[in-house]
Amino acid sequence: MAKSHTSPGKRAGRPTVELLDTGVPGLNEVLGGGVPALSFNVLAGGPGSGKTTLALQILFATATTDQPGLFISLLGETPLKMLRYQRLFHFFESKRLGTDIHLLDLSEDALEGDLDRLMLRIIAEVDRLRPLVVVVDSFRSLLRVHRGESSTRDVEQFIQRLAQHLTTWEITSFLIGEYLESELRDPVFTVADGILLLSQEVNRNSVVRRFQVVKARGMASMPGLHTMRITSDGVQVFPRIPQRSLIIEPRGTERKSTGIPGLDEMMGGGVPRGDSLVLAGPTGTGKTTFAMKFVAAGLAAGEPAVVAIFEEHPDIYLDRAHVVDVDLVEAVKVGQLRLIYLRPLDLSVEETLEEIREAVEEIGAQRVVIDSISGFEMALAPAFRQDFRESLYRLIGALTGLGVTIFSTVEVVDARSSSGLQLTGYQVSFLTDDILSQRYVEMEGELRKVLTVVKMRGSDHSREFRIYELTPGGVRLRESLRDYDGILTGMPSRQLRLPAPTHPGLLEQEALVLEIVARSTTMQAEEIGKQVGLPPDQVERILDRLVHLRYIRQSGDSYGAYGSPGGA
Amino acid sequence: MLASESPARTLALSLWRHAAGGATDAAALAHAAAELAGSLRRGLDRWIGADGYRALLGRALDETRPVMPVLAGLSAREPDEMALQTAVAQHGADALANGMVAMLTALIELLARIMGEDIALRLVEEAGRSGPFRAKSRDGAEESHG
Repeated sequence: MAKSHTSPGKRAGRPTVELLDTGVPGLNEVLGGGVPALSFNVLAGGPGSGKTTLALQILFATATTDQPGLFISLLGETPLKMLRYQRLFHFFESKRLGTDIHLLDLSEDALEGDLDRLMLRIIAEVDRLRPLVVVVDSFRSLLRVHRGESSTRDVEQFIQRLAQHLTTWEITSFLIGEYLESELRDPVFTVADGILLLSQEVNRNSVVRRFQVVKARGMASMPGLHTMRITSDGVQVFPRIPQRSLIIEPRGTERKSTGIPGLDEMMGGGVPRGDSLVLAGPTGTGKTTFAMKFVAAGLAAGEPAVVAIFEEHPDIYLDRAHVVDVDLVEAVKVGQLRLIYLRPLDLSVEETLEEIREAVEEIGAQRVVIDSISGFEMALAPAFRQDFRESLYRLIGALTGLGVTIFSTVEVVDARSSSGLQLTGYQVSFLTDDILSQRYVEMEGELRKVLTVVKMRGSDHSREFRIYELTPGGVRLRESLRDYDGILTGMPSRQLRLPAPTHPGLLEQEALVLEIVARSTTMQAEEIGKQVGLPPDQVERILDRLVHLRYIRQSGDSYGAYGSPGGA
Repeated sequence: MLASESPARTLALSLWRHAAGGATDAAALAHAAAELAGSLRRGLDRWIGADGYRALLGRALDETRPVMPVLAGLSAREPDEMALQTAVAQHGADALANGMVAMLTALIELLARIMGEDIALRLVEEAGRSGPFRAKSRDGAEESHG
């Protein structure tokens, strides 16, 4: 395997440090480009956190026959066991043992406690092999063997000397130590150029592995905790803030059709390209059908799509699409549509984003559907569910950075509550550009479905409530409910809509009284009061004002408009 | 080579033939056996540790010594060359060859059960061929000894 270096190059004449490509997916990005060559790093973490696997993976990725990798085993996991289990990873190539990859077991010397002899043996081996990368496992166990103040000092000096020797030999090194985050205050760590911390958190039935750059001398590493996963391919790190999310795709005036006749018009022409839209509704309102129509409209326009599903198996999802007259099977076959089924119950946002991002790039997707946000939440490990808003914010933010138009569905628990418009239980309206709301209403003894456009950032849209039906063909929008009030209560009532008053300066009730009087020849106050539904004293006051303003004339107990047969 | 010969036995045969060369007298053969054992120890020590190597060699000898008394001069520690020489004189050169091959085969198979056959074969071959009869210098060039 050829050695690969990542050299960031000079910026405005300033010197930079040469970086080694770790060969671990996602790790270079987190480290700020790679591991600085000649650096002395500590790989810390509790038992089973993946330190040895990560170290070996880096070793195999960086080593060549000319500049091999050396794994020095002091105390801890025996080399026999280490080789037995590490050989199960795909990165572990047995044929490279003894040529590119060398192992040196110094456990006996370490146990005897002769640190000078230990150093001599390491020096001899390094001098013989001239490795590029050296891993030492583990130095904490060395400290345990050498208890007592003076012995601990000896070990610290040993590590200091080791760091110095390895650097002068132009070696990039990793010391493995079983340290937890709370224990990283040991003076030994001041020697290190980099401290990489691996951890794993068990929460109910999920295990979440995390990676953190605690220290990285001279590097602009990514802060925070990054999800890490260990598979048969080895370690993969999912950067917390993908670099691509920092690139904002400019939005134009293009609109994406929803695929539902009438809905595009309600939205002012469709979904603006690059927007994030949320369709919120209770169960059974057809959110998935809407999403499928959105996908189908894109496919018909030659726009590939990625659909992330969390609640149904892809086969069932494709069957359902067929039922609503949307053939997605063919699109999947020809690579225009990618279904991503994620449901491991210990998912992280970064992994989800990585899957979607890869799919988007592979097929050149322009539309992404997340069906549903509720399902996404359930698929996440409990550790990420605790701050789901932040998780969603990062996911949506990163996806919009890809320039795709996002259509997400979210289940609303109770849209019939009297508290009004229930959008989502997640309070994530702030990060969506467009919101469609579905709800049930009770009308004429039936449960009907109603749709409204709640929000369209930077775009005009319809404000009406429309009845809609789910049909074999998909979705059919029907009449508007503009003659109804109380739709948000779930029990709308039809209202008489009068034309807007044409008399400036009059209050609504005054204009209403005037309209009623104007329609007839003369009327008495009592009769007027019955028609408008106002108490007599209020009607009297209104009539007095209208007379005063010379809109109507009073003749005894009767009132009439000017110019009417009953007026003057 | 027999059609049913295992990779472990094939390697064992190859290593012994390489170590023994054309030697026929008891002293030379005993020396070759001791040197091969020493090479294996030095080579495998670095991979599986001194304790690990001694444990495996001990098990391999426990399996083979009862039926191969010629191996009496070998132990998990340093080989006793004089005892080996006596054993060769007593049992013959072929017996030593068979004994060494059997012991090596057992060692490789034990190692293979722990870390897989491919790694075991590779490590033992590296170790067995890096003896004084085939040493590497610092710059990687091979030096051959007489």
